[in-house]
Amino acid sequence: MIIRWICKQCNKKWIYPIERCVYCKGNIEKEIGKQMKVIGTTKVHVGCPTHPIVPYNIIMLQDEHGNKMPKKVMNEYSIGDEYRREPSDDENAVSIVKIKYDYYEAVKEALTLIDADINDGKVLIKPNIFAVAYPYQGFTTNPRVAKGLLDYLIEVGVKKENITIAEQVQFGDADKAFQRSGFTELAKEYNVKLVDLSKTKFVEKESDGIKFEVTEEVLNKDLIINFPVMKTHLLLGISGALENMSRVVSSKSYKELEKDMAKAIKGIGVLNKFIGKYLTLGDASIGMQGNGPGQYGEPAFLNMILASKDPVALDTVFTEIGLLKEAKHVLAAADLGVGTANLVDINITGDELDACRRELKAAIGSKLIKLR
Amino acid sequence: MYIKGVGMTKFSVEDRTTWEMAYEAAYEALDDADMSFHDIDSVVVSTVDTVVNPERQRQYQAVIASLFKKRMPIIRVPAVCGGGGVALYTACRLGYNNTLVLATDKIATNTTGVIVNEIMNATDKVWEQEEGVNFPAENALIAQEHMLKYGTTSDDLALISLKNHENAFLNPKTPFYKKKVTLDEIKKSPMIAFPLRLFDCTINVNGASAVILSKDKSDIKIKGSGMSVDYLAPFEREDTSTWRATKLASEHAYKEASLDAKNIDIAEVHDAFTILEILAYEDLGFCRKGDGAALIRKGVTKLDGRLPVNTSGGLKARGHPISPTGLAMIYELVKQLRHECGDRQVSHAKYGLAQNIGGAGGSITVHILNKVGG
Repeated sequence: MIIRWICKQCNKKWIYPIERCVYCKGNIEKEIGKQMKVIGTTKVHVGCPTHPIVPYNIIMLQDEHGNKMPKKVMNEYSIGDEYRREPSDDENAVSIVKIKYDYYEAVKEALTLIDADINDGKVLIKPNIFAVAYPYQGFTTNPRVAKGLLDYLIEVGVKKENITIAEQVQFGDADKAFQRSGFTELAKEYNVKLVDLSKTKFVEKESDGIKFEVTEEVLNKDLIINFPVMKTHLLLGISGALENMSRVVSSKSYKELEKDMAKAIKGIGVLNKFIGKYLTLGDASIGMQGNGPGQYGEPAFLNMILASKDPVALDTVFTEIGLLKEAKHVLAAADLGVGTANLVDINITGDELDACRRELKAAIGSKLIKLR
Repeated sequence: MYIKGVGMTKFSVEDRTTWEMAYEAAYEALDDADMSFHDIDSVVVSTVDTVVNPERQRQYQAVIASLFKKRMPIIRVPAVCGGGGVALYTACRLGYNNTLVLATDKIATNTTGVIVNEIMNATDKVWEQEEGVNFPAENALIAQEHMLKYGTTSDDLALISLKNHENAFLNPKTPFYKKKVTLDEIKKSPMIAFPLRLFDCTINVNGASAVILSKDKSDIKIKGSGMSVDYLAPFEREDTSTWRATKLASEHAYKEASLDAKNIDIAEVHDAFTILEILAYEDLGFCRKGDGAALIRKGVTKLDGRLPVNTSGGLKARGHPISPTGLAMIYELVKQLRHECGDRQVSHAKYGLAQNIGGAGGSITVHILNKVGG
């Protein structure tokens, strides 16, 4: 889609989401073009750190309103061709959507492209607020993307009273972490529940030989939307969809898992298998690279959103985007049947994977850095 | 305002600091003006702060104060590739008696990819940078549109490149001095972004350039000075094959000079990519829209043509160190108007025009110089 922000009175258009016209002071409306035609093409042979794979193509698209935008693609197009982003209802489909300033539209497109079935039942949103941090640091789920998600959920009929945002903070005080991450304010603005999972009731479960205490919150919901930040992780390699769900267990169970890396690698998969099907919206609006997932990492500024019904596939695609090594816990989860880590079996929709690849700094780990 | 002196370093890939190059260019300009730094009462300096430049020197006003040992108004005017022109435009309006207008940049310090990435920062972050629209790609799309609309061909672009290399062959300030480049080499050079080949693109160099601007009369007068801007991304504009900022800036400059395009005898235009020289011909009014290619086909803009363009070698063959380019254009025009260009001297030059572009047509200055009594 091509988005412009337009003043209907002045007929001026902006590529930035401004709120009011600086001339007539009137309201700005969104103009969205969905019928896109290729009006120009070039093949670029000179690579650079943010676009390392060459050659790549840039096509100039024009929509039914006459608005234009360039798009990086690997597929070949000719002038006059239509450009479409086909949705996929495959269980392991992963959508990649670059954010064009508008988080709501990006969330909507990412979820639409994977044919996400959002019913009007109880929805649990599980963001990443693992530590006390400001959104700009890239540790925690971006509240601007979360706002886009809430707007979308409400638009498709989910009642506010049925929406719960829940997280278990690992480092620091939960209230402080919720506040600093922007989620306290967001929950208040939308009048949705914000729950500290550490204060919820945990139920002991056993799966694949591993015992853990899991919060009742995940057991009683019609839909779970896993909402991680896509990051590198100094112990696991990456922290994305699968790792984000590890904080639905009690701190006692978490510590048990954490003691032994081999157990943790398997345990994350087992836990995700136990939880069953859920939807993941991977927040790579900022994301993280280097020695993540916290203060030793650095923001990656990826400006994209991923979505999938398959957390293994989503983590695999993120690994591929960042040209990172396969993470053991993702492969282990695939072996347990949680999803597919085989790229050829993953149907990628939206932006092309190869057109999004860019070398992220891998986590190098450190003997001096410990989780606790 | 008058120009009393000009100076510039050789544009090259030599590893020198920006202050070393600034010092050399300023010294030459002072000598050329027969002045010392005692006479200078202000400086307008243009430089970009790039990641590729290991200096990472942001407080450049104070660098200049340290370099020339003088406490006075020093204003920094960064405007990416159009920095030199914008610095001159600004200096013309400040009202000081003798202003040193200075530009210095060190770009050739890293691999091509890293430099391409850095220069791409002059495009829109979300709509362009994230879609891989680097400057060769940006200008390739513009070239394609011009070709589709007006029938301009890759051969026309090659002729622009050849002309500018022939001129640079005669200019000791360029990296291509006494280095012959053939039409065949140009046409067979590697594809960078279709339809632009390597020899359609400027080269990364380091350098500095300087102009001493004065209220006192001298032999060179700035007759017209215009500037305009356009929306950041070409795709946001109504027509990407016409650069309105060039039209608006030149209209302003022509009006101020009481001249029009027909009066211009020589021009230095911003050929960062060969297609931009053709756009410049049209948007500056040297020909009708769409007829730009005809000027190069007929040899009108060659050294011995009716309207020589880029006698210095242009950005194509003199190189483009970013901010210094705009003042290097002024250097060439001053030298031509004074008949100091040796083998590349044109005859009958009274009015010279410089068009300097920042970004993809985002900020453009046009200056018209006149040889007083010429």
